[in-house]
Amino acid sequence: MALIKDHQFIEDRWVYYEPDLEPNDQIQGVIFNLQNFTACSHNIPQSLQLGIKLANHDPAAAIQQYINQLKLVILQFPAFADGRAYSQAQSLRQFGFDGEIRATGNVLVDQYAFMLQCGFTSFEIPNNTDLEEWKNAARIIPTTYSRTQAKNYSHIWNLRKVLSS
Amino acid sequence: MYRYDEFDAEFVKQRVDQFRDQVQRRVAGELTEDEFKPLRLMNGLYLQLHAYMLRVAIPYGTLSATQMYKLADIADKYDKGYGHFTTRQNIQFNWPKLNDVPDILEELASVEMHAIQTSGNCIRNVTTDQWAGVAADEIEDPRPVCELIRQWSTLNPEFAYLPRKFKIAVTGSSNDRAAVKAHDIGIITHKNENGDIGYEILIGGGLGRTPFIGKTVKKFVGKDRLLAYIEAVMRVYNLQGRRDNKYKARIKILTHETGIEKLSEMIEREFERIDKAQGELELAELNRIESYFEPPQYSSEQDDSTALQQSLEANEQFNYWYNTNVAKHQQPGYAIVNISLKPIEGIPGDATSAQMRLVAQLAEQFSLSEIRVTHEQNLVLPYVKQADLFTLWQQLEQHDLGNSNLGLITDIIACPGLDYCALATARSIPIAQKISKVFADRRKQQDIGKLQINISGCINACGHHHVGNIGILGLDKKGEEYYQITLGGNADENAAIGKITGPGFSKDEIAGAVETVVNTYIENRQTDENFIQTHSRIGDVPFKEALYGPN
Repeated sequence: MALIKDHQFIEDRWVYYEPDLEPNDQIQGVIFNLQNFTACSHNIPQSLQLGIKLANHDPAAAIQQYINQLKLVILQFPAFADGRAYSQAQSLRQFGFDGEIRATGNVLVDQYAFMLQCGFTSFEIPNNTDLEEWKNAARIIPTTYSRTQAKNYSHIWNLRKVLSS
Repeated sequence: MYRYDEFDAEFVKQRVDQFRDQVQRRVAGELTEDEFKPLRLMNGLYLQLHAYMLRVAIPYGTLSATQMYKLADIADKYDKGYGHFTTRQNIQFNWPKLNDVPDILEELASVEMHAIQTSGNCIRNVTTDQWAGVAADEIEDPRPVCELIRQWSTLNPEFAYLPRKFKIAVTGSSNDRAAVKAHDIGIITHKNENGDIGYEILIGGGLGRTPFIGKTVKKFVGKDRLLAYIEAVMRVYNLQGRRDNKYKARIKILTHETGIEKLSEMIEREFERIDKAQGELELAELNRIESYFEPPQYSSEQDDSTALQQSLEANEQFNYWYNTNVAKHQQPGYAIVNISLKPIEGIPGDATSAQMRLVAQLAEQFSLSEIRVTHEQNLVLPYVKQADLFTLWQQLEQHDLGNSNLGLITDIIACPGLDYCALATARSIPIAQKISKVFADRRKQQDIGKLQINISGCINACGHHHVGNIGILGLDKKGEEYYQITLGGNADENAAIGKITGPGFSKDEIAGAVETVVNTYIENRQTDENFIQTHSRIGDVPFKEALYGPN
């Protein structure tokens, strides 16, 4: 799998937590799950950033208190039609989380714009993906009528308000 | 009515382009049917028994004459010259070709229409009272709130992949003509003691395999917090609704399994978290939308003009139509005209392109170019001068649209059934036709009075049989169609789920069985009692005895 951000491939420098983890220059941060985060996150060197992978049944509110310590939250799409992670992402942004939210699982181009609008910023997708398609999918409808977390989508009600004032 | 501004128009156009690209990728084999399915469903395109079916959204049942002309053109150009109005105030075309669908959507966009979210596990077309804005008993015109919800829910990224479909209905009157208690979210407009308008929210209503009447989850939420509350309901449902079994995935099951108290606490917690500042933007948008729904410039007329009285006295048939199909208007001198799409032995809700054009032309001539679609699958001309009623009726009569049966036993609600639908287990349309033949005599119908029959061709209950006064459910028993009867259902403010009488009837017996039920009512009724009143007084037993014999 490859990782993209802003429709570009980027290097994934995060690793999953293991008890005998050896830090090195290549590692940016360590990913925990909700259970081992509270128990083990203080064991790793301060130079490493902290991330959490939430299960779909984990409430976003469970990590609200750690939001300032976290740089990455991974949310899962067990199937593209399972939309729980959209609400988890919106909740995290609502709590003020401003780090990376990564989509993993059945992540397809046809849902890309929805994910961006809900606050996802990075995406695990197959290596051989044509990114031109993803770029187009993100831009085909650049406006929305509902809450959006991505700056390059305009809320139509805001546009109207600006026009009328 | 609402008109698109440049943002709405551009948004719908971009959506058409997106779908055109998706269809091309499907045709080229780049998308599998599994990948294409949720995309086409979110654009209203089903694959049915014999062909694709396209369901076009008619937001809260309001259509302009221009839009109706376009629907007629689409019926002729891309279909077999007719369309089917549905129980959710939409229209379905039964025979479009996949390659034509992007063009159809483009034609729809040219008259400010679309098919977005008429299918799929997302928020569907918002429905309301077909008499919105003209009903004499209205607290507030519910259409601005409907339009606000329509926009907010359109391609709402968070709620595009819910556990299951999600239906919202709004009523602006305490007399519920929108069946709000049979919806995932039902919204009832109230005015509080300070004179402020707010909304009662019900959740968990729904029919299908496991019918439930909606329960109140919030007694009163103000205009500036309505969307926040809906958003809270949706978020809790999206996260907590069951995804392991599609038959248990609707919010009614979550409500039933969690309990309304606990669920309302969860929703309240979510509601409190939602930024109150966003209410300002929503209120500004609601105000903008409301300006589109200002009452029209009525001319000053008086009720019951001499001309109308003379026509009523001179023409018995017109008199009869007037008494069944015309409803009281807010404005003196005006009337609400209901056009029944239920001719005797016809197909409930079907209209030919010629009929669509006639209704569009009559709307231009007599009803400020506006038309409504009802969840009972009929049409409405909402702004007719009483003085024009006789002329209008004569034209309807000439085109087989003068059926005088609104709310009567032959005004049957039926799903398309096994004649079209891939899910159906039995036919619905031929049963509706048989029953309407049995009760064709209009004096007989008038004598029976108000009685709603609903027919569904399978347990998914698209014909809403659970809330029919007499409900008929078509099933399959070892390759034979048979039909169960339920009694006592009701879709209005006294919403109730009907109870099954006993063993089902064959397709040849069912119309006779309905006649037995009706005769039992006639034998037992007291003065001025309608069917549902008699049924609630005497219960099921006399009906069961008449159908199956004493015990």
